Amino acid sequence: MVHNVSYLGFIPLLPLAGALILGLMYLATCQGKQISERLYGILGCIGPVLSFFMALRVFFSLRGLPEQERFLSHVAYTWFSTGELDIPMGFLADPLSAIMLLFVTFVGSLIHIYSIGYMKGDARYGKFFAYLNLFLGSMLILVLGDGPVVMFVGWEGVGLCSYLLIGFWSDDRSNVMAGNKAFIVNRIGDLGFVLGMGFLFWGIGADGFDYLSLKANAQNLTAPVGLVVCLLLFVGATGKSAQIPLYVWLPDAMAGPTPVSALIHAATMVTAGVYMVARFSFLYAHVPAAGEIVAWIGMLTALLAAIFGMYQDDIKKILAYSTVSQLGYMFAGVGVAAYSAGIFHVFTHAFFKALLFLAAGSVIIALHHEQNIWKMGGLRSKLPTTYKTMLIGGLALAGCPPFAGFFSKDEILYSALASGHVLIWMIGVVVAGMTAYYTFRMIFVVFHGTPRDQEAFDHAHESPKVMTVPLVILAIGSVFAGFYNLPAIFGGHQKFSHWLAPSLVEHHPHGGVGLEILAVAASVVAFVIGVSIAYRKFSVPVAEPVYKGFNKFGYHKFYVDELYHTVIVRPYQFIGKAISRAIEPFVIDAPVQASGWLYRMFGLAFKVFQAGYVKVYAIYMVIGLSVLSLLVSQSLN
Amino acid sequence: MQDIMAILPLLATCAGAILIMLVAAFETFRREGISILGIGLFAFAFFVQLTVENSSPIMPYSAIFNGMLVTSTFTKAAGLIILACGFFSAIAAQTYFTQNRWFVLEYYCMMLFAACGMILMTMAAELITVFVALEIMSLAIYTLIGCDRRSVIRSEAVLKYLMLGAFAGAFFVMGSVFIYAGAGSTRFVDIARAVSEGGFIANPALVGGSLLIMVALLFKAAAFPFHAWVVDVYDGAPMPVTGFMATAVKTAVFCVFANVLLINTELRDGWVGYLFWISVLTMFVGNLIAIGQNNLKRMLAASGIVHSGYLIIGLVAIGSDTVSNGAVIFYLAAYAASTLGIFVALSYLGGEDEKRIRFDDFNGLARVRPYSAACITIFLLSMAGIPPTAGFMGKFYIIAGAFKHGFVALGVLGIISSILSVWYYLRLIISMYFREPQEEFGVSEMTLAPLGTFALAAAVFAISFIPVVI
Repeated sequence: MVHNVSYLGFIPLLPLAGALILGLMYLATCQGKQISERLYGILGCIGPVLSFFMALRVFFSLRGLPEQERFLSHVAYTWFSTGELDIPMGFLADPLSAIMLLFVTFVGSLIHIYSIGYMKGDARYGKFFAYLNLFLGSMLILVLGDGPVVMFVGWEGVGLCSYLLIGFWSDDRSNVMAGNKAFIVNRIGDLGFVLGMGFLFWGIGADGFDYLSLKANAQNLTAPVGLVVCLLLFVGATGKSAQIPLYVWLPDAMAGPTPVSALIHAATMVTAGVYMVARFSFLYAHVPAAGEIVAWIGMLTALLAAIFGMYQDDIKKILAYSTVSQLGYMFAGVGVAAYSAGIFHVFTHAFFKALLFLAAGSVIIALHHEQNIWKMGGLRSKLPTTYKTMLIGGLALAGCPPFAGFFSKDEILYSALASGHVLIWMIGVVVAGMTAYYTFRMIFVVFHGTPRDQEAFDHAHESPKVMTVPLVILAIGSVFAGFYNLPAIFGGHQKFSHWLAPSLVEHHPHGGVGLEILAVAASVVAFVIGVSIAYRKFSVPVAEPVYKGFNKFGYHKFYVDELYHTVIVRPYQFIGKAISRAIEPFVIDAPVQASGWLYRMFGLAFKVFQAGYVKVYAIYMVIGLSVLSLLVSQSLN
Repeated sequence: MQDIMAILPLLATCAGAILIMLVAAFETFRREGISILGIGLFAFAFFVQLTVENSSPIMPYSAIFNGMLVTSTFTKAAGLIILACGFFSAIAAQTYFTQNRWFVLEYYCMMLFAACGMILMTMAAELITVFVALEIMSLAIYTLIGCDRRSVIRSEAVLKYLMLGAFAGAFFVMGSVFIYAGAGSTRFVDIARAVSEGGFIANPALVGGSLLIMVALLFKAAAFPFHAWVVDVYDGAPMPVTGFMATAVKTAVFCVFANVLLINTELRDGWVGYLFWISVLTMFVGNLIAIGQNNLKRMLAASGIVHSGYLIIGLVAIGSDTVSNGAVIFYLAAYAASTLGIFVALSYLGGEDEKRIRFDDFNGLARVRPYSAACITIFLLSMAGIPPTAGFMGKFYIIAGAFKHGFVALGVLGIISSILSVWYYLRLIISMYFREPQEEFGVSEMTLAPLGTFALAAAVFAISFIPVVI
């Protein structure tokens, strides 16, 4: 039973309209007198906030329906229709997309509000808000789109916006390079998505290419095609959600303004891959092998990123690697068919990661765009609100009970254990310890100890209300979001998982109370060990360490960027150069130039026939008529 | 009553023309007033055309006036295109006359009369009616070309057009006579009946008559080998008139062409083989003429020949069902929007006495007038058939139609021709964007024509969304 509601289309339309209006305003005034920042800020926030309220409306109208009827849809118009492929511009709100909608618009709105303060004084203020709105609008299309094709529109939209925003401060060449890198790496993933979509259509798409039809026809998909589709779609997800081997763009994406990082890492973009896998749970449920691969890639990414995270000295890069690592957890969750656990981690992660980034942004602004943690220290007294909120975010990220991250991470680890993936679970526990370590390493170095740069410390001051209030709101979310899916062992009813049940195809593993206690205990122990090591090493004033041996290897991120550069980029450039020097001029250019010259000569020859005399033209007509008559009379005989 | 309702747009246009003629006699209206009145009347007629068939449901190709006229969604769409072309040409003319001071009050009246003839042409289902409509249109167009009495070029153009047009008109009348001799009637329905009863090939009078009519229509459509007049006449006509001729006249002529070919399947099949070669030659000769031109107007005229070639592909591949007309009418709409867009832009960029008309005159336009240059680029890309413009979709429908009806070679040649055409379209884009401006673009301030250009640029994208079943 699908209910049709027309307001669904407005949810992505509002930010998109905002983007259009802001963009036109900016275009119209960029050479003349600027419009005031306040106006841009307010206009920029209207779309996301209204979308949030509509998302609430969607959520509550879904709640009012019986469980198996929780599908709201709206077809705005027929996008295109050729042969068997009939694609309407359709939107679908079910429990899964409703949850995504809620936190995307909520966190997105807060980031918009925070940006009013953060971007103060930037020359391209209006452009920034236009892009930000476009980003959110694309993400909402991705989430709401009914069917892979409409999802792909949003998928490409967020890719484009990430490129625009990462390279926003385009005066610095390295920022532009980072934007390029994000875009190109994402394109590689997109190729996988497009191919997967093609195979999916070839397999079961002819009877409707929207989610409900696909879900109904999923069992008709043959096993090999199903595996190919799942893996190709996952390639798309590794691009967008920064998994091995395509994770390299995300740490570089820190080049963008901090609200953009928060938006990319928390509410939009990187969660798209996890959402997509959960969305296609009806496919992955039929292909356990694909899930296995997803889980392993996810957990290995989590481990690798956690190792890198321990050696970073840029505050935003630490957070970036923590995102990659947490995304790895999410994929491990959806890989072991615990889709609701994966999505739940997406949900809690959105709060504490947005909080951590925005708090980091507050620190960065206070220190006049200083990002190196070894130039900070002792900021606890100067930035009390930022410190408190960041501490809460850190506790949530590190998985300290009862903060949000603890419950969601524990749910994933427990699912891995209960479904028999013991090795994955063990790596997960180790990664949890490492997470606690690098998170508190960052917090201790930045906020505790003594100032390392006295002058910067003296000038530091707490950020304005427009920035701290979103921090506080997100901090509240980071504390309490986890209670939404309290498992039975803590006296809860797993409301979140039950809510998502109609959208997903999953079987909850039942491992018994013993396993559950084991999982919780292991997580808590890992957290305690991680924090203790960080406390011993960094709570006292320490100077920037010099890395040796394995540590140096880790500091340089295992030289993966350099490896990619030598193995892929350089040969590619070499081939390109070879073609442009050897093949292009002789094989392509010469014949093309020659035919162009010939064509031009013909043209000049025909110019002569345009004599300009009426009598000549009349003669042409008579000749034409005569020839035609001759041909006709011949054919008659 | 239903008959009268069906020709309401025709009556509205005609009444508008007469109104302007009467008003012009009193000298109370000056140039500006008459211009606004002309634009308004075109808009009014457009809305009449838009609403008319909704009020009285008419079946596809239902005959009215005892088979003299037919109406259908096809004729309605053609009427809409013609009136929209008139509207934008009138807008172009309004701005054109702020820079070229030879305005005659009857200008808009002639435009409306020409539109009258065109609308009648689209609906005509009887040879004498076609001829009368053709002449109403042609006489008004002759007058429009020659409005500027000071100019020798205009007089030369009108003389060439008039002489060759009369020549072609004679063919048409002669053809009608032959057909009357063969079929005993000039009504399309009776001709169709005569062909289906007695056969087409077996009746030499019908074959000869339809050949002569075909020649006359090919002349008006500027198809090879009856194309030669186009370049000189388009070049000689004032800019807004050239735009009007290139779009509205072509729409009307192709409507008649389609209606004639749809009379009878056997008759159509008899001509398809010849139209095949005519369309190929038209496309390639048009391309070759176009690349030799340094004058924009002449280039556009020659490219108009190429577009006629595409439209003839559409006619060759036209089915006996009315649905197939969709591709032709879509192409006409897409082509009209793009071509007219350029002519409207040239009307205000050309300056006094159209002094800026060569490719080199538009060097560096993108620096001086970025929005106009962007619009012109959109129009050129649409004419060259680059997605996502309407021109691309038009070519796509035409060529897909050709493939579907088994004319693979024709489709492939159409694609090759469209590649060749990129040469001269890109040339202007290169001039505008990659060359340094040589002189100042001192263009006086005006409002309507740039707005019209932007509207047409939007239309180029909007039209591409209209779904067409092929």
